Amino acid sequence: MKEMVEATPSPSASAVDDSAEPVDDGAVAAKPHDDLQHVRDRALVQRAVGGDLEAFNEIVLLYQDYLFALVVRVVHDRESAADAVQEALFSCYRNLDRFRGDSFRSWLTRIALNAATDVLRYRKRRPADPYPEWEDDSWQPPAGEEASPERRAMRNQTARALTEALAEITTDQRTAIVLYDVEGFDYQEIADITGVSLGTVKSRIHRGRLALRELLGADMELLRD
Amino acid sequence: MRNSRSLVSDHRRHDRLLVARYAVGDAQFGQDHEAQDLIQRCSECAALADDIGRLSRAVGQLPAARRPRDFRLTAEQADKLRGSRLERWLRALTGSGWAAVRPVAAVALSLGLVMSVVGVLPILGAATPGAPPTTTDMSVGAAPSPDVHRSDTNGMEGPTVAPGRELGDSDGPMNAQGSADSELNNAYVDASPGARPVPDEAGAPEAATPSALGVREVLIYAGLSLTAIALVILVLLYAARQRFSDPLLR
Repeated sequence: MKEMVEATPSPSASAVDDSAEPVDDGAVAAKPHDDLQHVRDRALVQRAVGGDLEAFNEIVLLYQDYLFALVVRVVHDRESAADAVQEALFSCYRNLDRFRGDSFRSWLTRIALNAATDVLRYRKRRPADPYPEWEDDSWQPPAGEEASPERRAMRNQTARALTEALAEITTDQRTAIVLYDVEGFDYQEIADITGVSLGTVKSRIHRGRLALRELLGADMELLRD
Repeated sequence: MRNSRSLVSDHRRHDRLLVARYAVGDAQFGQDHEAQDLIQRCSECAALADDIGRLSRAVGQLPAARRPRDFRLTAEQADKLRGSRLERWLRALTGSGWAAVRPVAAVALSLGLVMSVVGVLPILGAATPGAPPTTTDMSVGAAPSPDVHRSDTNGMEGPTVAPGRELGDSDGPMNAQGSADSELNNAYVDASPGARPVPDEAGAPEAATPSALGVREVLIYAGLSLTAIALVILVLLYAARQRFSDPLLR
């Protein structure tokens, strides 16, 4: 993985440390943290396959925030995203014994993205605001303690503009960008998760960023500040 | 004004995808210089490269939406999802481990059908004139007699007679008239207790029929069994796939 993402309520905050640096094409060596996570996941999966519901719920606790944050970025609707995550976890529980790969997180991500794709395909209701938190003054985005109210307002405005632009680009581009820039998967992992070639993943990401820039237009100034 | 317009129109012709790749270090080998050149010569391309880097960082810093509910499973949900033992077994059939079984079963089905058809068709009887007698041969005559036995050369000659006994001396109802009379020899049946008919060349088709029937029966039964087993497996796999394959695992 490009960078390990904690399965905490905000796994995305520091997913990309420096995207301007040259990036190896998915040949990033596994970090010890990844190995530990894999060992932990496999142990939990093994217990859950044996019928231990507590073990499975431990997996849910570890990944539900990550899954919801990911899926809501793809479908842009909280209720649909929640349904998709629930479906993904149901499917995961039913088919736990089929997990064969190395990374349980990648496997789960693939299931969740398939659920999200299905939601997008069959969605009939009008998408609701995926981030009602921004209307809620009591909620604070993950920012430093020192952030001033003006700074927070600016961050909110930037995030809103960016989220709206993300909603406008194609689902494939959005999914690739979110997996890469937000969730920290490398190109090869994204190719495995989405079932396309490495070149297609790169193309989607780069074209998606170009499209985002076009869509943001004048709002790009918010990012330059 | 004219310069500015020409710069913009120039920029439109520039490879912006290349600049976007270069901005995050993804330009392919040999394209770095081209991208660098664009960024140095064109201010729009330079701005684009800056923006791409900023965009990537900004997307990475987007706040995560809070989940509206807890997704942990209750015991009832878990029981329902696990299903009965039969359902779990059928679900297991849709797994990748059983994927190889499908073509094998299809091949077995074809093989079984071919065996059955070959067994039913009459070609086998003509194809096995020299087939050794089987137990069905025994049903025609009585128990083996020590004084009637096959020739050791081809096994298809007429009856041989035990030493000290001539054909004409036979006390059976159908006596042979001489060893040279092949027709009569062919028709010869020793009805005496302990004698049995022995096939000869002319009588091969009739005599081979019981022998071939045995092989054919084996082929038919084995073919039908193979077909039935393969069919059951294929139907099971198909039904399991229709009912239990999970679209989210695609």
